[in-house]
Amino acid sequence: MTRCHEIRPYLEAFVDDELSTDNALRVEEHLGSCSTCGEEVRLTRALKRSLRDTILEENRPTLAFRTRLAEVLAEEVAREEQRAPVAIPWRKRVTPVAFAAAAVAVLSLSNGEWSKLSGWSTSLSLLSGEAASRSHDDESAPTHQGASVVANPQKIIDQLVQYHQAATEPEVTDRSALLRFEPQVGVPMRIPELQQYGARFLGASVVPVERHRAASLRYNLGEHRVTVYLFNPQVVPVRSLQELQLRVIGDRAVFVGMRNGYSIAAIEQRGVGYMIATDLDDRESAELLASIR
Amino acid sequence: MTPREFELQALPHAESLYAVALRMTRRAADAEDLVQETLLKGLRARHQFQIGTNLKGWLMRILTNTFINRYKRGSLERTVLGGPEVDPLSDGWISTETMRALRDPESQALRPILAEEIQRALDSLPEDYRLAVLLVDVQELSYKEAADAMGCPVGTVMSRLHRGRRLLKGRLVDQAQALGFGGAPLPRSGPGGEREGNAGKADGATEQDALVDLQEYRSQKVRAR
Repeated sequence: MTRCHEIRPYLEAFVDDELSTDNALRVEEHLGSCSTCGEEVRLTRALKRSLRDTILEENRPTLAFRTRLAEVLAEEVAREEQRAPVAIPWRKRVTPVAFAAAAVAVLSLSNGEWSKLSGWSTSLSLLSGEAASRSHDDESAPTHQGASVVANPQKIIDQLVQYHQAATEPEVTDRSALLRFEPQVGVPMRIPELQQYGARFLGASVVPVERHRAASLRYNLGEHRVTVYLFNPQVVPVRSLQELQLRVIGDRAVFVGMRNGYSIAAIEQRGVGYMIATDLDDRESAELLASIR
Repeated sequence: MTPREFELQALPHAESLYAVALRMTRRAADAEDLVQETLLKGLRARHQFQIGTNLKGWLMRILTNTFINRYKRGSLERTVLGGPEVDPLSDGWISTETMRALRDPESQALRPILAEEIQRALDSLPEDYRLAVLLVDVQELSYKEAADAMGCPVGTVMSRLHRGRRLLKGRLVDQAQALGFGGAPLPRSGPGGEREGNAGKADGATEQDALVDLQEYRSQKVRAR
């Protein structure tokens, strides 16, 4: 019979599944008759299992970080794809909407966006310097703090979809009257220009969202109805909802999902949160939203 | 691999990368930076990844490299605590009775009350041992993958892993006894007394087994301060 001191050096490799078949068989044979080594193996297995379970369980990233990480990666993926234009996903299926969105994406990348993107890449290349990565963190910090303000973000989506469904008469039908909403909503009323898709602006209202307010802008797009909500992303953190999936449209990260048969999509642009609810399909609504600059 | 494919395949590993990063750096902000940088580096270097091999292992390699280059405090710790490779046969021993008492018979894991302590025990390990344990036990990398990640031979991984686990087991025995289970109090050897010569008696499983080599662990802890 193999003695313990011959087997002992192999026990951990045995537990780690790193032994050759021959050696593993030798160990197994020994374990069949030696309770001490058997106990050692069971303890090492227990230690491994507890380590894995406990460390993974107790060191989870925050939702805010996961969201930011997905966005940062999506932005970088989009940049990589622009370097190799063949790989841009939405070019595989060209639809009128997609085509228009592509044109918008290229046109509106003129000044502000480029400087933002190139500024970001500067901070990336300096990432080894603590300061650069900190400043990047700081930029997005207010939004993530805001994410904890609202108790039930799931309810927000339900509410906004219900408003879209109800299709009540808009308070105002004149674009210029929208400026009046600004103090109530708390963000600038930059009205999305959706004419390039043939969208017709019908009017707008202010709607309560939990304890806050959003502006609701109604459009017709052919036979489809589209509602675009403008809100303060610090108090209505739609984009951090887990049920919305991240999708990259051109260089933009859009959060997309479905609710009650309506497609919904959310995006943040220059400090304003936008969410769309529509009976268009989710790809089209994501593209509409991604065109907002 | 296209950028998009990389994104889809790499992002699901972010959580476990983060868990390991946080136990490496012990600061959430550093761990977040580390994970973000790992994924961005991976994206740019995705052509170097061999499709069909372990993506998580490859990402862990980037993460570990970045961590070692950025955060590791020089090589002092390695020379003081890594020391010469130990002969595995001169290990401390824990009696079968004690070993059994540490486990939860049903879950095949440690007793829950000990599992609670495991993170603190892990944090107290010398860095090289902690890395080996994180890569192999938490991330479930192979010895070869862990060796690639840490930039050392496979044998070094095995020895660091072995020492790390032995220290962890020692901590658990301490904890168990403090809580009033896990067998009789341990006989203590004199200061600095490295016990040797257990190897030949390994078959015995007698009172020799009641000895556990906490002496070395404690002196390492003192030196680590």
